[in-house]
Amino acid sequence: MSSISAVGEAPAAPEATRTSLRKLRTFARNKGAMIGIFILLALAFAAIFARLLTPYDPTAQDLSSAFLAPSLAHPFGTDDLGQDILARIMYGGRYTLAIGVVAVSIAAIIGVPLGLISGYVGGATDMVIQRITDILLSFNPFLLALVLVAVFGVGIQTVTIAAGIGVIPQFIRLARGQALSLREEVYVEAAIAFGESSLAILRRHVLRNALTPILVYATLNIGVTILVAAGLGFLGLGVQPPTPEWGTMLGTARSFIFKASYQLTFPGLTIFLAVLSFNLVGDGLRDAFDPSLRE
Amino acid sequence: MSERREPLLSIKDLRVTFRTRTESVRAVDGVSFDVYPGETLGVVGESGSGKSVTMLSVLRLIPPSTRVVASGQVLFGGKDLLQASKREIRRIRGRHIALIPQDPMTCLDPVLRVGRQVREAIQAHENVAAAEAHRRGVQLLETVGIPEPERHYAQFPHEYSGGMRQRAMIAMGMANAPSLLIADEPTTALDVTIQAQIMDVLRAAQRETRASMVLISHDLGLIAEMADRVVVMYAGHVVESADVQTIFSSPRHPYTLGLIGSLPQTTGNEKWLRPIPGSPPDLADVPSGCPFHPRCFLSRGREICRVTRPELRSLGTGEHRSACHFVAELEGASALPAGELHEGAGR
Repeated sequence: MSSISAVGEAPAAPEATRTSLRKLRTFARNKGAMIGIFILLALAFAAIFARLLTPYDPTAQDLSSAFLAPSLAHPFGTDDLGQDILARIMYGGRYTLAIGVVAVSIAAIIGVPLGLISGYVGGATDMVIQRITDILLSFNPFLLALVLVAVFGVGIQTVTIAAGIGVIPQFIRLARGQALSLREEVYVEAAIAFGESSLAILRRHVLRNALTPILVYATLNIGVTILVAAGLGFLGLGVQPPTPEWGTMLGTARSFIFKASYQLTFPGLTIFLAVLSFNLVGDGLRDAFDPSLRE
Repeated sequence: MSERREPLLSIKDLRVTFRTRTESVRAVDGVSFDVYPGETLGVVGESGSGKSVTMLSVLRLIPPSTRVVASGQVLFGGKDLLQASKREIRRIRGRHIALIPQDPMTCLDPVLRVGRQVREAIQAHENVAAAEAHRRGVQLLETVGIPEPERHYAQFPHEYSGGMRQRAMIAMGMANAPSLLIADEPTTALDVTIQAQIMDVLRAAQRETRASMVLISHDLGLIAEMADRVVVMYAGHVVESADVQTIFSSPRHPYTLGLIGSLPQTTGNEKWLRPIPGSPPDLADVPSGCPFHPRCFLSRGREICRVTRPELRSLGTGEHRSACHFVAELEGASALPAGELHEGAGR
């Protein structure tokens, strides 16, 4: 700090520009993260351009070609209803990836403001919010989602919301921690001294500065919500067939595990790759942008 | 100084205590002084003398809680700020009393453009359209001497030097033309060469807004140059107050004498600095009687200094007040040769 003031009136070097470049470079050098990005882009590409990439309709049943093992015509084989598994996986990406992203967005939109208020305001407000968080945290996210689906019924909306609610407490905790440390910052105290309202300070100063770790954390949590949604689908409580959701595909195929194991292998591998990739990318972002979060 | 004016800000018997589990620290202990319209009041003292805590309490920036207890009165515009509601105090902060913080390196939000932060200082109290706020923001930056204000308005804090950041803070401080500016050691974090410029900017800001200013500093040179009146604080007490000429020409408290004596001499025949012996007291364990007595050259172990806390008494000449039992013995003392000051202080 003092080295900058010694420069005098000459504008200080744009150090922050350089550090963000360095962070990007750190991220780009992270092999795992790059592999993750590549896989995610490939999955997203396949989901978006599924119509162009496969001649099959994912929900077109053709019982005459049921239980076909992988071949050139059907690279991943066909399922019990004669639907092409590769086509279903490609179209299914639309649901699974969307569920993951939307669920985490819901969790962040609800959890972050609660956490920020909790940490910034403190006192009784903090107490109440944290005890509710404790209750939510005492359930495994999957179990919580299971209960919610049991109560509100199955369907893509319910599953998305349920998977999102499961990770809300994580966001509350993270945002609260950020607010607790940021409210000690001199610029927050200065804003108070200039008479800015608490709401304005939370929005302009605290949220803005907490955004990086929140984004990192959100990326990491997309993997969790995908797993929760797929798990629900597997149990038959998620997205319902014939909608080609990966977890649901696994669930239907499990009856044929000995007869046609490829029906499980490919959706299972895809889920595995997707979750792994989100975690790799999240880890890479965390290491590059917020090393303090590393455990 | 003797004509009777209504004070702008009146601090009456302010006490601020910080409680920890094991001890209780009285950072400010019965401080009273007034700030008059248009004047610059210097508040001087060593670190931990309570000068910053006093001024932060005025704006209630030390939140009252089970751990912090503030009592007394802080009267501003006929209202006791210590009793004001949260809403009232927020309207006063920045609008009527603005604080210019100590460390310009950390008081700007790194992720927001400087211009936006200046604009927000305006919009916190006034409902002005963005374009109008922008125009006034650029104008403010120009007033505080930031070159190419339009370009710097759109820059981030890390593109500013320390001096420019302090200028930006002053711009934010004067954004709402407050009637009182509190500058808490505005130049301590800055390069010496910048200090004079910043003080010029502060003076210009004060002239522009016709505000009073409370200048907190331990830099007597700065105080001598800027202040109209001076309050000297020690261990949470006011030990002496007078107009600036009187403080420097005929100080009437041994601590003030010690402070002035410890200034480096530029005449060239002094080889060593003359520090005040000892160090400021631990506020959790303030000495009995006069808090300065263990370090005082005048006390010489006299019992009254150890037993009775001296009151801040008027010396009859204008506004000059001192809290010393033996103020009479300092009669005629001026900028004493520092060597004499510390004789007998070693005990």
